[in-house]
This record gives sequence, C-alpha cells and structure tokens, in this order.
Amino acid sequence: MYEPNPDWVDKKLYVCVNADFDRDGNVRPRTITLPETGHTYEIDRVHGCTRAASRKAGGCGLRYSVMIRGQSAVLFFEDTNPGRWFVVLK
Amino acid sequence: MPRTILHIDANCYYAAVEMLHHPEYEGRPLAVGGDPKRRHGIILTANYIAKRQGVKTGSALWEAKEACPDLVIVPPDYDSYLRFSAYMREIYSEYSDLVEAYGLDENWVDLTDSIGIKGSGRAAAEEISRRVKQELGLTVSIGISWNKIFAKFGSDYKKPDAITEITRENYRQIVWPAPASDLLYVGRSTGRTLKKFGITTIGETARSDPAFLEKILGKMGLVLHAFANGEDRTPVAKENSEPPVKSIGNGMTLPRDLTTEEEVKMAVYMLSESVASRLRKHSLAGDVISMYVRDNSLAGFQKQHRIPVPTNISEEIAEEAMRLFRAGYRWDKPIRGVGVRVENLKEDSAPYQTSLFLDEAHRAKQLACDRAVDEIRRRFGRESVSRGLMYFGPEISPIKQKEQGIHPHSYMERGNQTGA
Repeated sequence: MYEPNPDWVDKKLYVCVNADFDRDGNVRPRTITLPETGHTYEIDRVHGCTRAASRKAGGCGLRYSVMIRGQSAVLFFEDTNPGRWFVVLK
Repeated sequence: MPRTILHIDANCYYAAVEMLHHPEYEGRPLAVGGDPKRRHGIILTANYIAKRQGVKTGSALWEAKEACPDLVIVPPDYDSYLRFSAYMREIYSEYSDLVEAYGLDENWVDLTDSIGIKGSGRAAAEEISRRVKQELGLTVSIGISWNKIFAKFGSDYKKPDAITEITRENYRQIVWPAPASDLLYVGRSTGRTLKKFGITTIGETARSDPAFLEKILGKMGLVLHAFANGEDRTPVAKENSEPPVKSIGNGMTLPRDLTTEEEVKMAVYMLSESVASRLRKHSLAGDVISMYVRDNSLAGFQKQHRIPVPTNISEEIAEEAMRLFRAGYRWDKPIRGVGVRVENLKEDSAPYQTSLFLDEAHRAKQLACDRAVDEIRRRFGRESVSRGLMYFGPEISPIKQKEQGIHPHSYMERGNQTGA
C-alpha cells in the first residue's frame, strides 16, 4: 500500500552532530559524523540559520547553511521530539 | 472602524504535511486514511492529484482505491499535524495577538490594529503565504474581509495557494451568487428549509426579510441574515484563550460490528469510565447524559436525558446511557460506533439538591471506588484493572482517542455575537 516511487533516491541522511549552545540558546554546529562510515567533518563556517522546509529531503526545521572543507552544504535541525539533525544530499 | 480579518486555511492539510515528509511520493495521488484494520477506514484528506481522480474526503478506503487504483494511502500522524499547526500559528502570531484557531488547519487573524505595519491586509497576507510556503513547505489560501464569515468564505473561494479579498464593494458580486450552503452554519437541513422557500443563494438569504427567516429557522434565521449581509461582529479570540468546557464526551468506532446488548454495554462502560475519569480530573460533574449510536450504514441516533443530580460516577453515567440506548435503539442493523457525553457541567464541589430516592452513602462509595481505580491506573497503566464485564469480548478493546481537541470548535461556543 505504501510503495514509494521507484525512481526516487533518498536525499535525507540523519547524522550525528556536535554543537555548542550559548547562554541565549543559539546553537553553533561544530562537526557532523556520518553514521555509515564513521567519518567526521569539521564545519568551517555557518552562513545562516532560518526556519525552512526542504522539499527535496522531506521535512522542515532550522536550516543551517554551512561550509565543510570549502564546499557549501545544508544541515537541518528537525525540531521534533526527540529532535534530530539531517543533511540534504546533493 | 472597519476591521481587517484574515482567514487562513492550509490546503489539504494532512496530505500536505505527509507530502512534505514523503518526497518519494511526489507527483503521485496521496491520501491520509485511517487504519483499515481498526476499521477507521476512511479518507481523511487527499492531495489535489488524488482529488482530481475522484478521491473524496470521508469515502471508504476501498472506494477511494476503486476511483484511483494507484492511490498511496498513508496512516495519519497526528503528532506532526499538531506540530505544524503550532508552527503556523507561531507565524500568524507575529502579525497579531488575535489569532483564533478553527480546527488544526484554519485560523482567523485580526489585523485591524497592526495594519499600519504591513500597509494593507493583502500585503500581510502575501507575506504570510510566502513564509508558510518557505518555512513549512505548505500552501495556504487566505480570505480577507471586514468580518469573520466573509473572510472564511474568501479562503474557500479560491484554492490552493490563493488570496481573495472580499470588500464592501465586491461582496455582492462574489459572495451573493454562491449557494446558501457555502455559508457557515447552513448544513443539510437548514439548506433544505431555505430551498423549500426558494432561497438558494447567499444573496437571496441576505435580501430576505429577517422576520421571515426567523419564522422558518428560529433565531438561527436572524443569525444567517446577519452573516449573509456581512454584519457579523463576532471578534477574533485572543491567542491561547480557552473557551470554557461545555461538555466532555468520548466516542469510538469499534473494531467489529456489535450485535448484542451485552457488547454495547461493554463499550458504553468503557467510554463512561473514561468520560467520568476526565470529569473528575477537571473537578467537574454534569447532569445531562447523552448517548449516540451509529449503525453500520453510518446512520444513527442521539438521545439525551437530564438526571436528578450532577454526576461524575462511571456507573451512573453508564447506566443512564444504557437506559437511553435500550429505549432508543431497535436493532435494525449492527452497531459500528458508540459515544457517551456528559453536558451541563458544574464544579463537582458545587452544592446540589439531593433526592430522597438517591442513596448518597452509596454514591460516595462509588465515587471513592472510581477514584481508587483512577489512582491504580495512573500508577500501573490502563490495563491494570478493569471490570469483569470486559472479559466477555477482549477484542472490543479501548481505542486511544488521539484526535481529542482536533475537531473544530463551534463558531458560537463563546456565545452568539452576531447582533441577532
């Protein structure tokens, strides 16, 4: 009954994140770790954070546009309970 | 001063939230439907692709599949609908403190006092629409008018993702030609009555003599006359202001049809226990008991009766409900759904006139017993203690009523403020 579209490729990857929380509740993600490979990537810069929906990956939350090793990437914090982080795969 | 009121309606709400979470179904007909095994087997919402292929809200899952064989049916996820509903209201509340929810997916927002900030109702509506799309991935249709009724009409007028302004200049062209049934509170029966007298459009309702409408519809006639002329003055309620509870009830669709009184009794006791327990939790008691039954053709009856003293005792509620059932149901068809409700609520500590025919000592014991059961269930879970009666048919198990609070409130639960 719930057959997905066969051409569709999953763009949503839940990841482990290390982050700093400041006193005002601002969050600065520091590293992400891909669960499959165990690779950890440093987040060099955070360009911005807005509430947004991702049609591509499916879901919504706080959207962080970040730089990782000179590449731009998109990281979401899905504020469900429990909240989770995911990256949008290209 | 003329008001500026928006009515914002999230299009195909449940289906839209599911589409957002399931991009793998993009471009496919999708519907949110109840769990067929539990026999909550109806379509709750469908997306536009499915609607175009003839899938209708409220139809059975198999009917929908027949109309649209490649329909994707996903089970409802009320937690995320509640969450997105809160997000939407969060956005609206940045524009006004007067945000009134009408169900999960509809809200009125009164911009009268904040109109200066955005310039006009339309500018604010455009911004809200854009933000909901960007931040939540949903589309809304918005109606703008000087009263709540026309604002709601406007949001229904053009969808999805549209804005309709209903002004004093254009309402005769836009609202009046529409069928009377598009007006809030004109249901099947009222519509039939109006039709009998040749009133089929909102305009004809508006131009009718209010005294005549009152004669055929009672006070509601005056209310509808005011609605149709845009004279409704009902304010948009303040955010998070809860109207007083008027009744507490519980209903369920059964996993299988009931054919004997014993089975109905089981369901009624189950519901009465939960209703009574909720009454006690809120320190309330009521003296009007109502009971409804739906048979397997979804027809049904509802009966209510006033008992001598207010109660929140499971046994008393269940006994009265069963009495109503025995007096009212003729067993033409097996039963699919049952509901029990207690109305005319008062604080349970309020004094009342006792009756000579009631054994107050016995009532106190029953109440103490109910409270003990509440406590046991709180500590050890719902299943930890139950009546012997329940062992006769364990498959009619209680179904958690998760939808509580999701149904739209009545427009006039804060009182009729139309001026009629």
